Amino acid sequence: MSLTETETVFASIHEDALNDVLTAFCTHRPRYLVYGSPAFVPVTTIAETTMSAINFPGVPGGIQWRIRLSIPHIDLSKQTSQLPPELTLGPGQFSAQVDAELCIDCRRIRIDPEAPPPKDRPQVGHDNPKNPDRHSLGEPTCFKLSVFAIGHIERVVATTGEDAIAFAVDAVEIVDIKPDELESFLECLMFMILQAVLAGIRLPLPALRAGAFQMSLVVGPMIEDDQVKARGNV
Amino acid sequence: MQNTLDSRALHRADYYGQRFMKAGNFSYDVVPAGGVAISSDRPFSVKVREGKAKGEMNQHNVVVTWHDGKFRAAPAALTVDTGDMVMWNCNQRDAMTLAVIGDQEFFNSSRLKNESGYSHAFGLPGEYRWVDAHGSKTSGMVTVKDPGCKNEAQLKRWRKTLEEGILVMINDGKVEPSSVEIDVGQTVFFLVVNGPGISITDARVVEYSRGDTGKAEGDRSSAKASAR
Amino acid sequence: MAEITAALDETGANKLLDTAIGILPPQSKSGSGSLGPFVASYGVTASLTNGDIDLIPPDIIRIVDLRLDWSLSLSFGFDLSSILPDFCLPRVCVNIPCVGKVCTPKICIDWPTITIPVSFSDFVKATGDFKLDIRLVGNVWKVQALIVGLPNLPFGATTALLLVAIGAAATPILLAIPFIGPFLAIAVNAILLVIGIAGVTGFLGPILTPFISGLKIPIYEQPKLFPVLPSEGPVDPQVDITIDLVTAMVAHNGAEDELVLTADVSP
Repeated sequence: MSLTETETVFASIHEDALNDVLTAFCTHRPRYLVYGSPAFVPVTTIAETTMSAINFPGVPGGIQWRIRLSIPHIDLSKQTSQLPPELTLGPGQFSAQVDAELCIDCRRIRIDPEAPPPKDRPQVGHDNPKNPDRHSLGEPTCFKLSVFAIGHIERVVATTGEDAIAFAVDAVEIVDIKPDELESFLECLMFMILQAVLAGIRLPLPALRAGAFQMSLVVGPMIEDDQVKARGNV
Repeated sequence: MQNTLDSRALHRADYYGQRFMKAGNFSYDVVPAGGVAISSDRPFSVKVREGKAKGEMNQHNVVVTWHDGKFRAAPAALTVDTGDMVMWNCNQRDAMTLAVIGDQEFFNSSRLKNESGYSHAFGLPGEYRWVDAHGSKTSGMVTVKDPGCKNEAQLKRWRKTLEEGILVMINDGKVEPSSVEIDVGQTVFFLVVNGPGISITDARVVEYSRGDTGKAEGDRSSAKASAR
Repeated sequence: MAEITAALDETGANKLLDTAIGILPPQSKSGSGSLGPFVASYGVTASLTNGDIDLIPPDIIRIVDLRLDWSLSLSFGFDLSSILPDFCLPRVCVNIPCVGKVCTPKICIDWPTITIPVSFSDFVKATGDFKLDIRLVGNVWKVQALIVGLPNLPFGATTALLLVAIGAAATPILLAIPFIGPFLAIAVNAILLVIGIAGVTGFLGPILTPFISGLKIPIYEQPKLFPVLPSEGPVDPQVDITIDLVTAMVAHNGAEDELVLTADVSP
């Protein structure tokens, strides 16, 4: 069978190269793997992305948090990397393995003996009366997870306007967290986070063929034989 | 190669001829055409001795050459009899056009006056209306045809016609014949029996000059005469 | 297993080369060359149009009927006396009535030096094998197709047509020369005979062959430090990967011959 089959152009990227591209992306733009509220990430930089704190009544400034992800490692079917038994890599799918560190700023709140102010007046935290939105970190409490996911690739448009691929997560598995409901909770949390993070990493198709030839896409992109393949016409 | 019909400026395919009817020593020079008025040197001569009975004529040829920016005549000193014709020609590729100028009014290739002639071999086809550049009404027409030779036989026939010269006689303004028809390569002899001193010049040359100056040469000289 | 693979079948390769050759700008050059016994100065402009592609493993792209359109201005000068004998006006005599015979001696006239300018346009088709050449030039990966050997350009009818054009260009030049009219056809033929078909071929060959023999068809060109994504703001810098190695070949896959490029990359 020819590479191009009934089309005139063929392009493929092996999972090794795909991981190299993903590594390059995450190395140049690490902020896509680090998200935190102002106490952890005061402002968005190349290294990290600032997010809002989780508002909670009585918690001045909200609950401060941070998540840090490792560079995802992708395995294209056929399966090469190990997966927990709950996940099966089917044809046309990828699996991903990523380490996640979740942190929360654990602080003691002093109970204010005064009557609470009316709801329309902004609350002022006692631990920083001058700037209610800036809190120095108290005691970050963190834990690490190893997360496995399976998914499929979707054809999208990159910020450059070119055809691109993004990784769409279909399922997530975290191994051996007790109780099971906590495992399900965290799996759901990581499922949503990973979907969002990976959807933001859009890899242009011309880059995935190192700029070789022109292609008007007809077939794919699809996962096959440890590669992402595409066919089209000049 | 120049082939303009202009007796004031002789070139390779032209001859100036002058009959000397009286005995004497006639000095002259050969100068670049246009230098007639400037020249005062007379390095060459024609010595005319009383000769044969009237009407008999011998022809003498003077070969003109061009060296180091000067014309030379050979023989430099020529002895002829009265009534003889002397013919001048320079057949040199790199020579300028020339004029022959003597001290006597009749002895001037630029102004053909008495018993003088100008022969011209026509190299290009066309209609040549000729006029007197000095302003008289003397004029005529020479029609030159391309023989259209397509083969050796026609070329041979054409070469034969080149041996036939055509004579045009000009006497006090009367031109006979006023119009001739020839093939490319043939020679027309213009013989001036008597006249005020004319040139045989392609009318287009005169019209071109007139376009620059607004006046013909003859007009200018007659204007000067009336001023005097 | 190559990390990145891109392939074109013959149809795709045809289109690639249509574009690659089509965007090559017209080439011009000038100089002088031998046109038979004459030295002619010339200026020539040429442009190429792709022919039909045949991919031949392991690394040959054969272009059948690659077309070279060319437009030539040439000028050559020579002493006409070198090819035509001098012309002599015979002795001409006239009879002057009552006076006698006057004759001009024979005058022999040599011909002048003339310059003939010629403009001519035509095309030639040639088939050439081009080999894939891969190199890293100043941190840029280049894959080009370079011709193998010198093509033999089949001028054929062109040479005869150019001779006709030379004859046509010579005619008005010659017609302006006095006394040549009856010899015009002989003069033109003499010029063309002296040049001949061999002279035209010998003139055109060295001029036009380099347009093809010097042809470098670009197949692929990318910087070694390859940009995956451009900078999208102060917090989203450019993302690059390094292309460590490029290979190019013609492979027979299944029932098709395909032009295959591969690249190994690193972050």
